[in-house]
Amino acid sequence: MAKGLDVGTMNILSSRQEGSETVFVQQRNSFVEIEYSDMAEQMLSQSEVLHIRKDDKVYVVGDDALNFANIFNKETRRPMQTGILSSEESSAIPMIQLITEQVVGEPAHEGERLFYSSPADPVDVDLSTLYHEKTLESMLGDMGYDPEPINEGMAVIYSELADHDFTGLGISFGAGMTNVCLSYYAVPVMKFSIARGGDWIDEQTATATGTPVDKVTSTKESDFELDFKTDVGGIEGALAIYYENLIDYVIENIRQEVDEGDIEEGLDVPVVVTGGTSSPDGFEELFEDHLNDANLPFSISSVQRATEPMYSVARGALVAARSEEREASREEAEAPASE
Amino acid sequence: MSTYILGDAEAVVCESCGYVGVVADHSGEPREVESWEEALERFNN
Repeated sequence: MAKGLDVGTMNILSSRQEGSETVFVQQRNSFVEIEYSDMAEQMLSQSEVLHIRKDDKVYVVGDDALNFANIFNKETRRPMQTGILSSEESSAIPMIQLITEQVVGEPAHEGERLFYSSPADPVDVDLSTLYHEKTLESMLGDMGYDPEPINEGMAVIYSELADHDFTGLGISFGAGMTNVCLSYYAVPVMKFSIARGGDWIDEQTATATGTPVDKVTSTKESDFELDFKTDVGGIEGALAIYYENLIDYVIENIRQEVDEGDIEEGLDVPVVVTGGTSSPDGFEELFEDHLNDANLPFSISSVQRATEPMYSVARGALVAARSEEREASREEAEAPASE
Repeated sequence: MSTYILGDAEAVVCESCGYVGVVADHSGEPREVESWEEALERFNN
């Protein structure tokens, strides 16, 4: 047995194999504090609403946090910001610890292999992801797993580019960050992140339209679609403008970071886009249109969006974990014969 | 120390110093280096 884990700014997802099926468990990585009362505590305890108690405080956690925030006109809080543990949230570590434990469950056996996603250092801000990566490693080890970080962009390659011999450009549009990885036969040639993602779109839209951020997030996640032309005005109009701006910003950073030397001569690169922020209908077409206009120093064979953008990273982490587990078993089986 | 409780699970934090009761391991790990002979053997097999 082995597991995969996508530790995202907006969602935490675990993945495991059961027979021929991959089973995912997902929880929103956010919480909202509600007024404590005996009645509130009793109602929450009797309902399915996931909640955390701390002294005389109650926090609604996960998917229900966004609903409660919208109903009670409060803002959700997050253990993570721009792809890594938030330095502004004092309860970041215990909160992410409890949410992760709920999502990933107990290991099947002590030392079960678990690959968890970790972002690359961003190229557009001075930020190290090391503290985040090591803290998660320690936390997962404390739960009884044998954890191993996997670059988020590389997880996308494992998940989506098996048909291309794990060769191509994987781009994960997350909430806090966008991760990019160029891989050649499963070897990462170049990887970096950009400290902008869906949260940046939500924040800019909220500021531009004077709408609470959580309301913008709910609108974006409900029935928002991207098109080549949209009406200005309203939340949807602003969302479309900032989506286009994020796409251009990511492509410009790819143009700056990838040079001709990184790509084998004559190779047409398949590109796969994924991540929760790439979910709206029309994203793939808009991205391809802007990519074709970008004058990149390499040729692109195709642009495709993952069929299940939310699950790509968790699936890729599981593929890597199972592959390594098989390799370890094989080496163990061969060891006595070679002695 | 503040204790956060979710079902049967607990997590603690000291809000003044940030202690969370999880240990990070800083000891070295042996690194496997593949020799040219091993790499060629792997390639040829």
